[in-house]
Order: sequence, then structure tokens, then C-alpha cells
Amino acid sequence: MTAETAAPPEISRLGEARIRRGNIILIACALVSILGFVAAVVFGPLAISLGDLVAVFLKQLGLTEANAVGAVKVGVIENLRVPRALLGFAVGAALGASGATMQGFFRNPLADPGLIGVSAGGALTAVGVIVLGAGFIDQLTGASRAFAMPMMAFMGALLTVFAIYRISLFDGRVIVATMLLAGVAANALAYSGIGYLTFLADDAQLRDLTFWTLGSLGGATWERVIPAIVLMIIATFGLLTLTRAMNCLLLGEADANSLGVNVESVKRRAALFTALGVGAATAACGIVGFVGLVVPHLVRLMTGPDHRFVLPGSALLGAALVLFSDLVARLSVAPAELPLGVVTAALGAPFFFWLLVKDKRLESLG
Amino acid sequence: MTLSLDSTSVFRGGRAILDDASITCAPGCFTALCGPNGAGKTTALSVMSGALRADKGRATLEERNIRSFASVELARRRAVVSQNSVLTFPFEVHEVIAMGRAPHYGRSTPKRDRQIIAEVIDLMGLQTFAERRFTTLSGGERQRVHIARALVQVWEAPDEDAKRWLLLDEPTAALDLKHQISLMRLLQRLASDGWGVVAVLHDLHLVKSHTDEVILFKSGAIAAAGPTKEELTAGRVKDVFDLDEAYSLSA
Repeated sequence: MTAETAAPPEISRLGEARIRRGNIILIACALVSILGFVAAVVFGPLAISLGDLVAVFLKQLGLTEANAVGAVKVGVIENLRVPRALLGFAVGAALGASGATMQGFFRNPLADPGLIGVSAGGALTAVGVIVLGAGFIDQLTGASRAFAMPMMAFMGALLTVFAIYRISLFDGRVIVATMLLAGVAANALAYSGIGYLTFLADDAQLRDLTFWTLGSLGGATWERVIPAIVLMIIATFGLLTLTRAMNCLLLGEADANSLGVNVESVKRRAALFTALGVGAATAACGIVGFVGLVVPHLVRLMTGPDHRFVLPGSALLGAALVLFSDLVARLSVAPAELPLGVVTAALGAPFFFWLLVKDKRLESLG
Repeated sequence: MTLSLDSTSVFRGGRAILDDASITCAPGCFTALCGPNGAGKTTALSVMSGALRADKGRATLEERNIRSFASVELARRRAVVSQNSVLTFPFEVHEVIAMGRAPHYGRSTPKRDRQIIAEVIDLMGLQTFAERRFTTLSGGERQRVHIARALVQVWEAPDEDAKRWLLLDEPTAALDLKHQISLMRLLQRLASDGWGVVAVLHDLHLVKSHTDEVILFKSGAIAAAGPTKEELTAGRVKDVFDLDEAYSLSA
């Protein structure tokens, strides 16, 4: 039985072709996200040339003495555009990877952190901190202050993931309709909480809150950006360690278990890292919907459903989508700015309709 | 070297769905678990696979409590074909089979994995739809893919002494007659190659003609166990299944 029989060459190359294709698509996604980053820095009310960007970058590395670029431009690049672009990159990567993981976790392709209330849950606890905990935050200093909001958003997001999962689980499998309806309920509950907090808020807090519910990369400063980025990097790389296990989990928990996957531990880590990524993203820029839904779908169409490609691909393409959406948000009504969440929803909601029409019967999705 | 249950009970809702059952399955032997619906066959298989913790007693593999194995360690020794695999994502068939190599990640090479997958695709006669999307297959075709996935999982024994085990829950249920027979022949061949094969089966004709040992379940307890030729008699079948008259097995 175990005798080495020579297999037909075309059969033995099956895996190779899919992997080669996946790698090429990952490289393409990486290039698009880098392009998005450069575009985010270069385009804006103050035009910046690629040469300026390179000169400032080299100066930062201490390789040149850049006098060629004016102080205003340097200021715009270093204090406005780069932190904003980095934040956009991290938010997109975290939301893309979280969306891909959540769809694997729930074993159906309609799960999205925004759609099932995870972002809103994170936003609610973060808004609670702004409105109710202002005094408490003021007493914190340094790192604990910078991390307080993202951590609160993380708790809210985590609580929502667990609640939705427990509610939609029946007899070992997730019921899609229940999951989506539980998401509707979770969103409604979180938004009513946010609404109540808005009612309590004073004028200064109110401006903050609008930004929260619609999502925006505006006002990205290094102090706010760095803790958020640290958390989102931890979350994204944490999720990337789960790819093989997530593949097995798509067969169902019993089968994943027979394949040697420690199902409970993988589920726990997936929920934790997803909530951390979504929470940190929400704390830094409010609710940005549909990135986690649209991006993994696009990647899956190109690479197939293997998480080893879908997860990193979604992180990279998510970064690109957020950066380009933010570009639209900044440039379309300049000098004013659209909220980022408005742009991603305008792209994502029609896509969601398309998915529903394509797979008319929800049962076919899981 | 056996896979066994030692006076094992599982309780659900205050009722013993497996009642003080002792079973011994030997490697090199094709063992069938038979009995009416709800008699405890699947429960026994779940405990033997290490998936389900027994409320009393335990399952033993290689003289060790099966729950003491790390899940990856166990996955290299035994594969399970369950009745409740779900897969709604459009993987290609060869990718689904490749998931069976998951417990060997880091120990096997991608080249060796592909070689094993190709051998098994060949053995199971899946060449024609190896590149189709799993989600477009019929129930019987999916079942054959899941069996292939289980085969690649334990294709090589983890070490010299360890035996390979294949546990299957109604593997023939979705298959047409031709594939039922070829699967039974394959399982027989694997057993004669030293694998331990344990399957829940409903078709007593297939059991009679292909298996070495049979274990008959009735209301959670073992009604009879032993060589199929001796134990699977018309009278015993009538008794175990509560039939009104003796069942003819002379096929």
C-alpha cells in the first residue's frame, strides 16, 4: 500500500499551481497597498512630489541634508500625511484580516465586524470613555492614557464577538440568519447606547462623537496613531499565525479536532485578535464598515479560500482600500472632508446587495 | 497495540447512551459497529476517536488513555470520517484532501505531501474531479473526498511501532453500490496491510462479506462481539434489531 507508485505528474502538481498563483496575488496586493500609501502622502491640497517625499525620507534616515524641500512641506509630510497614511494602512490591514478571520470563524462569508455589531460594540465602550470617563482618563498619564481608549474598545468588541457567536450557535453550527439578525440587534443596541451618550455629551465631546460613528482618519497625530498601530500590528500578525488552523476549522469543529487542531484555543485566539484589531481600529478612527466584508471576498475570488492567502491578502488589500477611500474622502469635497465610513459604506453596501442576490438562498451560505 | 473502550459509559439527559461498554479493536482487523439507530455506535466511535470524553471508563490507544495524547500526536495516528463535515467555502478537491496533511506540518515536506495526495487521489479514483470545486460535488463525491482526506492524514505511521487507525461513521451512506463495494474492498486491504479499521455500518450484507470482526450494539450496551462469521447470525440480528422474523443474510 505504501509502495512508492509514481503519480501522474499533472496530479502531483495540483497544489503547486494554486500556491504559485496565490503568491503572485499576494505580491500584487502588497504593491497596490504601497501605491495607496504613496498616493495618500502625495495627493492633497498641498501638492507634494515624489521627489519631495524621497528627500524627506532620506533626511529622516540621516542620509542627506535636505534643504530642497520647504519647511511647510516637511511639516505636512511628517506631521499630517505620514501619520494619517500609516493609520489608514494599519486600520485597513486590521479590518481586512479581522473580516477574513471572522468569516472563517463563523464559517460563512457574510460575517463582517461592522455588519454584526463588533465595531459598534467597540465604539460604544470607547464613546463611554469619552463621555463618562473623561475625569478618569485625565488622571492617566503616558502609555496607560494612550492605550486606555483602544483597550476599552477592545473589550466592547470582544464582548460583542462572544455574544453574537453564542447566540447564533445551534447544535455545533452557526445559523447565518440568526447571526445576521443578532448583528442587527447588537448594532441597534450599541447605537442606542451611543445615541444616549451623545445626548449626555457636551459640545466639545459631540464633535468627537460624530467622527466616531461615521469613521474618519482625520486628526491623526503621532500620539494617537502609535498605540493604535502597535495594537493593530499585534492583532494582524496574531491572526496570521492561525491560517492553517482556520482552514481546518472550515470543515467543522469536529473534523478540525480530528485533524489535530486545538479548536477551543484557536477560536479563543481568533476572537481575541479580531476584537483587538477591530477595537484598536475603532478607537483610532471610529466605525469604518464593510472593509472586512468586501476585501476578503475580492481576495478569495482571486486566490481561492485558503486562509494562507486570504488572510495576508485581505490585510494588504484592506490597507489599500482604506487608503484609497480616504483619498476620495479628502479630495472629493476639498477643502472639506467626507467621513471615511461614508465612502466605504457607499462602496460596500452595494457589494453586500450583490452578494445577497448572487447567493439568493441564505442556506447555501452556511 | 489495540484501540479499546474499558467499561465506558456516556450519559445524556440522565440516560446512558453508552452503557458500560467494553470493546477491543485490533490493528490488522476490519471491525464493524452495528446496531439500531440510537444504540450508541456513533457515541462509542466518538469516545474511541478521542473527541468525546467518557463520563465513566475510558478509551485506550497504545496502552495509553486516548485523552492523554496531544491532539496533533493523536491526529498522526488516527483519522476520522465523520457524518457531519461542513464545508461551504469553494476549495478545490485537492485542497480539501491536502487538509489531511495538517498534522504533519513541519515534519513532512510539501513535495512528500503532494506525492501522498496524488497517490490517494489515484487510489480513490478522484482524478476526474481533483480540480473541481468541492462545493459543486454531489453528496457521494464529497464523501469520497472526505475519505481521501482521512487516508492522507494517516498514510504513514508516525513511528515504527505505532499503528494507523481509520475510524469511519457510516462511510457508505452516501455512496452508490459500485463505490460502496470498492470502499469496502479498500478498507479490507488497508486492514490486511496492518491498519486498524473501525466503521459504523448499516448494510449487514456489506458487513458480512467484508469485515473481520463485528460489535453489535443494543440500547447503549454491547449485545455481541467477535468474528463476523460467528457473531452475525440471522437469529442474533433478529434479536438486536427487534425484528419480527429472522433476517436472511445468505447473500
